Amino acid sequence: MNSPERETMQVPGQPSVGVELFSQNGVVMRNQASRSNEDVCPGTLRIVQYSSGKCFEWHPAVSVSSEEGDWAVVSKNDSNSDDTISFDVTRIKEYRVHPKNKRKIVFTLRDPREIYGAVFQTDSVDSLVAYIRQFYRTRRSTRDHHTYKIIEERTERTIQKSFCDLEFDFTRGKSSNPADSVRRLIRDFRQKPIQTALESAAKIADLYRYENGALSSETPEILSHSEESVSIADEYQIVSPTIKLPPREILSRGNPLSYEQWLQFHDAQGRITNSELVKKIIYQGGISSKLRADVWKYLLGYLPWEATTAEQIEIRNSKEKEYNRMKLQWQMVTPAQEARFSDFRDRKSLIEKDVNRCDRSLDFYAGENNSNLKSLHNILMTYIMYNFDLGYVQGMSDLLAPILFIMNNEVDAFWCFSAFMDKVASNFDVDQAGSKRQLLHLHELLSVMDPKFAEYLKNLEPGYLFCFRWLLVIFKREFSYDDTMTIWEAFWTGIPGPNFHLFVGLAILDTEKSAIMDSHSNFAETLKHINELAMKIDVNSTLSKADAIYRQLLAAEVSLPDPIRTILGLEPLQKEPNPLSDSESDAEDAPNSSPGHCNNGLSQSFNDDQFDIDTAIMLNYM
Amino acid sequence: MASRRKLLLKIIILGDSGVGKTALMNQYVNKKFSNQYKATIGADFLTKEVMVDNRIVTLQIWDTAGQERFQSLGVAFYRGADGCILVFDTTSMNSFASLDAWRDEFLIQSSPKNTENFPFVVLGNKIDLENRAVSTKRAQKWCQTKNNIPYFETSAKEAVNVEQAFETIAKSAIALEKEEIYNDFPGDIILDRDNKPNNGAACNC
Ligand SMILES: Nc1nc2c(ncn2[C@@H]2O[C@H](COP(=O)(O)OP(=O)(O)OP(=O)(O)O)[C@@H](O)[C@H]2O)c(=O)[nH]1
Ligand SMILES: [Mg+2]
Repeated sequence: MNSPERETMQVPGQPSVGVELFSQNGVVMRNQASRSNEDVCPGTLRIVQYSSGKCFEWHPAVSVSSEEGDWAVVSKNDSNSDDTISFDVTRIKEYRVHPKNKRKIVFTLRDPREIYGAVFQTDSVDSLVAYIRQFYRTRRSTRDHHTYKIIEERTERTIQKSFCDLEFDFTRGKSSNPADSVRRLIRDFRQKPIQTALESAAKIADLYRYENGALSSETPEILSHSEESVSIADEYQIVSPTIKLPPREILSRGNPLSYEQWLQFHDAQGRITNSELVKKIIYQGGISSKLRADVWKYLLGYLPWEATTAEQIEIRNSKEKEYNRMKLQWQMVTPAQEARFSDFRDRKSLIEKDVNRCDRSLDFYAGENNSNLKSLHNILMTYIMYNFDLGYVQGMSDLLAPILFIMNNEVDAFWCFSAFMDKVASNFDVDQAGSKRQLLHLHELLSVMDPKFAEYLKNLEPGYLFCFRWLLVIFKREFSYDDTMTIWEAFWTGIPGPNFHLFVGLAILDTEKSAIMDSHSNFAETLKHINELAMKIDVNSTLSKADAIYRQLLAAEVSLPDPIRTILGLEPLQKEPNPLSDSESDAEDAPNSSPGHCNNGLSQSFNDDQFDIDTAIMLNYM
Repeated sequence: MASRRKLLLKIIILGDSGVGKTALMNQYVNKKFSNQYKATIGADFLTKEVMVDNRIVTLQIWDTAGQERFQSLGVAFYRGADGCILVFDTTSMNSFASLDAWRDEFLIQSSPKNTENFPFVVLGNKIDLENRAVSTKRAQKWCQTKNNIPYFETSAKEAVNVEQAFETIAKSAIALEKEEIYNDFPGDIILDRDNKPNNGAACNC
């Protein structure tokens, strides 16, 4: 994994010993200028700081034995192996990132006989490039936009760079006119003085730290200290330095709503008397399994809490009629009609495929000619008549299957399912906007809770996608039926706010943090780790933690920016529209110059919930 | 010596929902077929170490959801693929007709260096079933028009041709990887920019 300055080790007084500044495994590297027919193989690329300067070193992976135990302290004179590549950074004339494949980079040295091509097998070269740009001034070649010349190592002089130079990231390489940058900076100062000041101060501080040669052992944020625009993390992010959350207070779960309790909540006419208390009990402890069929109907809004027994029967009858009518509609489609109705055919065939693959290991859905499969099919077919715009999307069968299992009746299952769908319909958007937004919200929440971890996950290309399955079917694939239902029930209560499921995700991420970060997992490893958690997560501790995190954020309410407040279900603090409209800045500048008076130092990505989804960094590849 | 060297190849399996992508991957890696696979949500991968041309190669095989709705997510996984397996169901004409779209989308989104030579194989799956809808000839013809993509008729259920198909993609991916390491970079860069004439139409943009 990319980990600049991991385990930095200083061995004083030994000139031949260096400190590893950067290391990347799985790199194939060779000198392009002197081709040999030797096999290519991956190895480790490092940047090592020696007393004489920084040095690039590449060793093939097979010679591990000779390096055992001293991977962080590399001896410079140990280049006995022919396979090893080593050159001083000062000898690099320029580098070029492959325009289409961001895993490839070429270093051209001043000596034309040395042109080193490197292919990163798993990651992009962004982290390496970011590293180089932190320590060297580079300039984009005028002949080739993908080539950057190394100008000089950043020195103390850099600090004396002008005000304009410090503002480069506001221009984002779009405008090279310093006057524009200054104007923008001044406007930013006016609009969001604290954030702007913090950003500028942080930049100066960072420059100062680097230029003093003090290689701080904490991982520096990726900076954009350069004049050129490159697609890597160009955004300067100050990650919530000022939001202080109160300690997390974990409450143990309560008991599930019992039959006796449930009876007591009924009045003589069959109304539910204190629905808020019922919800609270459910949120804290779930529902005992034999009550679920009854209580879910209220929880999902199929039956109103205040309906009398007589009214319930009436509602139930009319809902049954309505269901049967819609069911008849698709059942009446003749083969000749179907032959001319490809949309209908496609949906039907998708449903058939998914019904066949739906929880077949569960007794309720096992075996051939299982009548419950028939019911699943009928409900989903009827749902496409009910919600033709949405149609059938994979994942819906996962949401329906536990409901049918509980209701054991097509009509009730249909209406409970459609009520559930109303809550999560945006997950199934044609353009996936709903899913993308939720992944972004997850990131924003994590940025408040644990900025370092959030930053880490964001930098895994393609970001938070490994949480997609969680959110699409609200954890149905991660937990047993019973546990899934407990999570759903808590989510349906709407306590403590509308997005409790995101907090279940946060709780799991929090639990898995060290497993992911300590092993420097890349995207693939993280996805594997997350996928393999399925059926191994403890539901009660996860729900307790999710609840504790939610309350932690609510307690810090006043210091939270509006987008986070909105996710939590709180009113935004600022409502007045911004005097400077977007028309003044072009689309690329929008995140920087966007309105919200973000006076808590939060990153600009929080400024606007009407974010342009596709420009959100972590979603670049969706 | 050479055999000890490891290489990681990312292979991606594409095709309509229900053609058997997950079943094929599991048959190849775990030598199992189950009737209880669920529709894939998001993505997953399995790895398998194989010996190809006297070297150990780790295949990282990615399986994504086939439904059209999820394609905008699937493409996130295409990046950096070294090979692509296109699957259709021999009992479904629609799934065969989709191959063009899958291939095009893959090439656009992953934008490999060499579109012409990018390693593909095509699998016509479920040949154990009776109700065949796509003839061998027709599938072969399509493969020929796409720069002779190797074609296999497979059954994930009965383990027919699965091994062969994956071996083929691994071999062509390795061949390309090697070629790229040797040939890719020098073509991209100009050895000595300052001395070379800039081919007439110089553009200093
Ligand atoms: N008879 C037969 N059935 C198969 C074969 N391969 C897969 N199937 C069945 O076809 C259905 C779909 O297989 P999957 O592997 O889940 O399909 P997929 O392509 O992964 O589908 P998505 O995940 O939705 O994209 C399952 O019910 C499998 O049991 C095969 O070779 N023969
Ligand atoms: Mg699948």
